[in-house]
Amino acid sequence: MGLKPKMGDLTVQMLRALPRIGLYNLKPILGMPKLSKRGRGQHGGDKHGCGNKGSGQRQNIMRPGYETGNQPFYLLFGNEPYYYRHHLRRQYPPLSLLQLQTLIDTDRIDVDRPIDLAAICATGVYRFFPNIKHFGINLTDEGIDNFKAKVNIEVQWTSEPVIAAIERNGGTITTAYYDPHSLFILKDPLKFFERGEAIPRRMIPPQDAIMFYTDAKNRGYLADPEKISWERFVLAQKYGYTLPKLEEDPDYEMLTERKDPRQIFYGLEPGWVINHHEKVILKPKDNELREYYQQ
Amino acid sequence: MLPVRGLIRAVKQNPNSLKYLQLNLLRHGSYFTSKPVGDPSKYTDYEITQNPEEWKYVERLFVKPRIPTPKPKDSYPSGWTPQTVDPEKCTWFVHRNKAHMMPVYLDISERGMRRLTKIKKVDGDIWAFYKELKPWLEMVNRGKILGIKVNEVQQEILIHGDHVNQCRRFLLDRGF
Amino acid sequence: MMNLRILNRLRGSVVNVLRASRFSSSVEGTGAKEINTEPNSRPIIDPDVNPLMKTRELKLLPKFSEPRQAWIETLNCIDDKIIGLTTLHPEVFGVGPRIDMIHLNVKWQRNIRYVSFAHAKTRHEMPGTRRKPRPQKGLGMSRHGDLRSPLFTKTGGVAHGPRSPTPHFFVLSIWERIIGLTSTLSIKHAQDDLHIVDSLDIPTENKGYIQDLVEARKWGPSVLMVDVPDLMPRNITVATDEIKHINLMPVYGLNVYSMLKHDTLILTVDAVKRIEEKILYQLNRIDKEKVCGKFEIDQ
Repeated sequence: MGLKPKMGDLTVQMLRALPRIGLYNLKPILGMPKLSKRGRGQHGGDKHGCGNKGSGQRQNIMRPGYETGNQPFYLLFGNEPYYYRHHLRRQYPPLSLLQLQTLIDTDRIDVDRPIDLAAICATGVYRFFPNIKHFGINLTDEGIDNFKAKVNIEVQWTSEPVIAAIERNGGTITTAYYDPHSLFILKDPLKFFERGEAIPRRMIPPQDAIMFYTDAKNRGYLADPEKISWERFVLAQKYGYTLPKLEEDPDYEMLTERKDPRQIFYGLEPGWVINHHEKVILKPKDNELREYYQQ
Repeated sequence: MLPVRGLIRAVKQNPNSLKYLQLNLLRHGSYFTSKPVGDPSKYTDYEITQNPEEWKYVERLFVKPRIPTPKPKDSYPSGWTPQTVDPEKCTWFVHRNKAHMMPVYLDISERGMRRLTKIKKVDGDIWAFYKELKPWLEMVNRGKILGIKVNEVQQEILIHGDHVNQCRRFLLDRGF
Repeated sequence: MMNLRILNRLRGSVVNVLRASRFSSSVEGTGAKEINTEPNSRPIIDPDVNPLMKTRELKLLPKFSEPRQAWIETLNCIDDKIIGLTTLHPEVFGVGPRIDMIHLNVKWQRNIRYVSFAHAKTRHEMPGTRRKPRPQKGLGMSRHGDLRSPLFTKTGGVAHGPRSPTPHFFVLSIWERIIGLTSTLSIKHAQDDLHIVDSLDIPTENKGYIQDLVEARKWGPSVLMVDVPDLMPRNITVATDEIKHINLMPVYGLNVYSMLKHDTLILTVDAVKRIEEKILYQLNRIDKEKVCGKFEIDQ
């Protein structure tokens, strides 16, 4: 034991010399707000801050926005379509490459497995709320110069330099669409398993998004794999790096692990019910159901 | 709600699958309002499987209850550095937070006009830390006298202005 | 770290110098007064049992801190008998206590169940007629509609008075509650009011036995004994049944108010492990949004 005061040591010394702390000698900290009571008499009473006569004292204040008769400002302009169709617009909250590299450096995310939205949400770092039109991860280029990890990542939106940064390090990137129901499930899989429902099928992208996800340039999950290989090669030439050969990589299987377009989780098929308490999976036997889920 | 949509789509694709409709795929409000389980023949048949290969994919989805200490690596491309200081040689100590990041924060209020730098989790002799920090910060800020508040009870130091990077540099230089 | 101002404001500033101390080795002799231990209260180490340095493996130890230590005693005999030594986690039993947080916890525990039944009748509830007391004009006197308005001190109702029943329920965040618990446990340990026993087994169900034990060991008049299961051993349950100031409590019922109300706190080794496990889980959890986030339907 040295002379350095450690956590609580000084207080221990003080407490040992002071009387026993009980219910009778506790006090709140200085400056804590007190509940304001209604004033009575000369102490805030009488007119209670309302002044004399007028609408203020008579509790007959004009409604906010009222302009004593003329057409008020908030009613002058008929149409202000600032939020026109806002409920149909998708949002992709950003996740930077710097954040991703920090997560990998601090061992908060496992690089030995494919990274998808579920893995990112499980770290607790990414703020994602499907109920307010968030549709997934937008991988941004902040920290692109120092990104050195080899990952298999699946995001919902990204840009060309980011794809180049990931492929340069020998990794793979895919952009995939998830419908809102699937997003809720991905965000909190355990909560979904508690419901006892079968894993649903993922829905295909809407009309305005399908072009993005079928384009090999965006590494869309619905694009032709051959076209994607070609685009990888083209991008390497554009950004001036030698494209690492995936086939010779010892992690080839992990880097090429992809989900079926109707699949939500890696390795778990739609139609299955997961009982994570008893660690069993319930699978339907009915042929019609099986056909439906395999479509 | 949504399983019903899938159900309707299934029916539209295959109008003869009334059998699917007859299967009770309703989601009740609560356990107590739901009907008791009926005749097993009316429910779809299922098999219970325990495949460790498949279960690995389920375990992937589990959230870690706490953040473990990061393993030492050769390099950290993101710029994050682990804490290297020797606690035995310190009179004061600034702990890392649960995410192993430095506990230096910026509080912004008054529509962006008020910026306060907060250093939390200061253990040990906080006044010694203050005596070291104050002249260093003032030197770095070209002699400007800074308003620094020491909150001994909450183990915090509050500095007027945005000195987050400077405080981080100060702590990093000392291995915190 | 404590603010001297807060500590000095504690009422009852007479320093209790004569409390027997068994932890003189764990305190730096800079500020504390030298406390003399009387020969009778010196711990007896059982020669049959090896006085083991039972250092439990503590997990998640923070840097720049050392585990606290405590003797493991036994209730099997009246005299002070030590059967071992255990380590306590510094983040649970060795924090710098926040007296203001403890006050907040006590206030919360009191107010969570407090319903004020104070009731002042409004003008509409006052007995009496709706008759206009005097004509509006002509008398040269003030105008009134009825005698029940709050203007009238004797016959009138109260405008903004207390309305029964008024609950004072409020929710204290989980982090404030944890700080309260750890601060109280640390205070109890620092002020020698925490004793750790191997179990709550006693040889007889005679209530005199417990009373003699508490007397002999100079434990405070009120004692709180905490064990993990809520079904305690029969003997101690019967012995303490009639004694109102010696109480048994399962770990899940541990709270700041009870710990402060009782002078001495007795924890079994199992209870110590469980408390540390639970508090450390809360201190290290990362799903803050689930715990503190706003409740939303259909999420």
